Amino acid sequence: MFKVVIVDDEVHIRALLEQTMEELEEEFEFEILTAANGGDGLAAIQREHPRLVFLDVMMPVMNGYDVCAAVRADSSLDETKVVMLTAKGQETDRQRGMSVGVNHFITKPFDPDEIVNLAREILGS
Amino acid sequence: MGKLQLHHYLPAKRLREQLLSVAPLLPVGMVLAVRGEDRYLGGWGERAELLTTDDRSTLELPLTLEGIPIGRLVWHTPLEQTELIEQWARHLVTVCQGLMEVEHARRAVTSEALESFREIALLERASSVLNRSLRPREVGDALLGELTSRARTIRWGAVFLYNVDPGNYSLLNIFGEDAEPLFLAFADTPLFKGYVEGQITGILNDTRSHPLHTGGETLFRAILGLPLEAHNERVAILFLAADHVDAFVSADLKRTTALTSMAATALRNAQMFEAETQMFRAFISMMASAIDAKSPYTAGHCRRVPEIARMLTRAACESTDPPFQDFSFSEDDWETLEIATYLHDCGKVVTPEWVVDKPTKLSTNFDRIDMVELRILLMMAQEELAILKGQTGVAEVAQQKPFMDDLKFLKECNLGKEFISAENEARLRTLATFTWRDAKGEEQPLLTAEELTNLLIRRGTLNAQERQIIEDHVVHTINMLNSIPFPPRLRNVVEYAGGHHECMNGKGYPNRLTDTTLSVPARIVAIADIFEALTAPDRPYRLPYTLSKTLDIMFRMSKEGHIDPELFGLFLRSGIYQRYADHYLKPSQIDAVDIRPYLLTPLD
Ligand SMILES: [Fe+2]
Ligand SMILES: [Fe+2]
Repeated sequence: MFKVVIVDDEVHIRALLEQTMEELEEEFEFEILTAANGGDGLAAIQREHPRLVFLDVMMPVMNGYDVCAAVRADSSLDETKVVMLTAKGQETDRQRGMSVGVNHFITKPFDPDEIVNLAREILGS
Repeated sequence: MGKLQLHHYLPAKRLREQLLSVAPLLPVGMVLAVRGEDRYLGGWGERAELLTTDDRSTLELPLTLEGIPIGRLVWHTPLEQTELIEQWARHLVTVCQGLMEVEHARRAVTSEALESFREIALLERASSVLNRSLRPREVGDALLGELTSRARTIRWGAVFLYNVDPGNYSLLNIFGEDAEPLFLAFADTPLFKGYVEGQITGILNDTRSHPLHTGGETLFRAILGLPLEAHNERVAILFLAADHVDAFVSADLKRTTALTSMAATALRNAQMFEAETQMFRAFISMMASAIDAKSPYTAGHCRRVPEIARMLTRAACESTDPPFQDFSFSEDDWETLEIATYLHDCGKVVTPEWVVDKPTKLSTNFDRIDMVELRILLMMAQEELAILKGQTGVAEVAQQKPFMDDLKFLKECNLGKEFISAENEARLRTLATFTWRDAKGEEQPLLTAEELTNLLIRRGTLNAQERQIIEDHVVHTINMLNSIPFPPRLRNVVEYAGGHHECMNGKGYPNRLTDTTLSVPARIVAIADIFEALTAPDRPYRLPYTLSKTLDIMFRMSKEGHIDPELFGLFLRSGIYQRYADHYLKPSQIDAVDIRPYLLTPLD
């Protein structure tokens, strides 16, 4: 079973992503885990070896770049695809994200259909 | 909203917590399970996941949401069903119901937020997609694309453009299988009229039950139709159709309305832009006609060069050979080329006509050979008179034949068909020294200095000054085009048009560009210009060249670095010259051509 980890300090974003991902329940078998800060998120990722991680940028304890850099430094997590949720109009976020190994970027407020399509592509590959 | 499913409302984690807190207090051997319609969510006891109500000693209670049963609590006990156990089960159901209600409320809020996220994304994408193009067809396509890509119930779609002048509708875009005939047929139905005239608006979820339905067969069982209006003016009308009744819901209407209002403005902008473009094109066309009309000998030149350039450009786009494999042309590039080719000779409007097609060496507004002839006749008459007056010996009488010979020679030279040899040059210079007496009795030269210079032109009919005037037409073209504020997408018009007399080897004019500075389209225009000029059926000073002679000349130009050899090779291999000849040249010009000796890489 695939694991999907959502790391975001905003509870409504976690809820929105969780509910969005439900659309793929029929197609894939996966379990969603959530974390409200970067530290918990990294721990969850290292424990669960998820296929897919949704990662916020600004978070308490540890920010998204550091989480991603840590993930990328761990070769046992090579299969983990990181989708970073960036704020609109923050192009510099993308550049920095790219440099720490983020695979995809989604801007908030995100398009649920875009999330579904992207997750489908990642889980299906 | 889809079907209510228990596992969405009773999170497994919460259920587990509840069970862990109470189940250990249950009698030994008790088994219980919470099941949704299609799955087991959690339970307690041995093989709880297999527990079903088939067993006579098993009982169950429903779990409901909004009054609808979406799951159940099943339990089995080896003991009698005591009241206590039942009470306990009811308690667990109550707890679960509570959890479900909280979750239901949370999900409702989340769904609403997701819906607005979706809407924001849709509008944002649509506004960029719909405003990306200024071509009505592309705007219409973008609208249909946005609407149909995410809705599986829509099988067909169409945008009908409203034409203000006749006040009718024409099909602009379609989507779906056989959409064109289906919508064209639909356009003749009272239902279509109903939509157009506003008796029907929005969703029609069962077309056959509508009073305007006349009983004709239609595959459109449900329709969503919306007019596109900008500033209270009708621009178009949109139709979406499905093959089953009740296909559309109010959310579809909401979404479609948001998109159509945006599309209406985009479409209207595109129409206005198109009207401007048409006006501009008409202006260009008028300009081309005006240049062509200046000279009967170059008639059609400005209309045919675009045709040849277009053919050669298309061949370059299609070619996969190394020099052209990366060559591509956008829609803007095509427009640029069209304008550039139509206007490449626009500078000729300021070139005096008599220079443009100067038929003979002595031509100005008229052919001065006639004056020379008159002078010779006068000389002859004056000679004769002198004889009659006895001033000259009788032996010299009737020396008219030499005069007539000289006149014939001068006329020949005037035509400029033959090269002036040293011998002929000497004869011309001698003739220029001949004199005649004007009305005042003063001696005048047979040929003025200016006339002599012209007659001495070694090749063709133009003297150096006139050649400069001719060459200046490109400078005028460039200056005239530079004075037009072309938008960025057409910024290359001047470069394409102004380079048509440039050469690969840098010996062209006016800017002596070279193969490193000439763009491919500019080289194409140059080839088109030469090919048209050589094959033009009417020239004052020569018969039209045949196709083979033309290609021979062009081959020489290609070898000498005048035109691009790669493009010339493509021109030959693609057979453009033949297609053009079959269409535009006189049958007498079309002869057999063997292109093999001209090709850089022989055909295999
Ligand atoms: Fe020209
Ligand atoms: Fe020309």
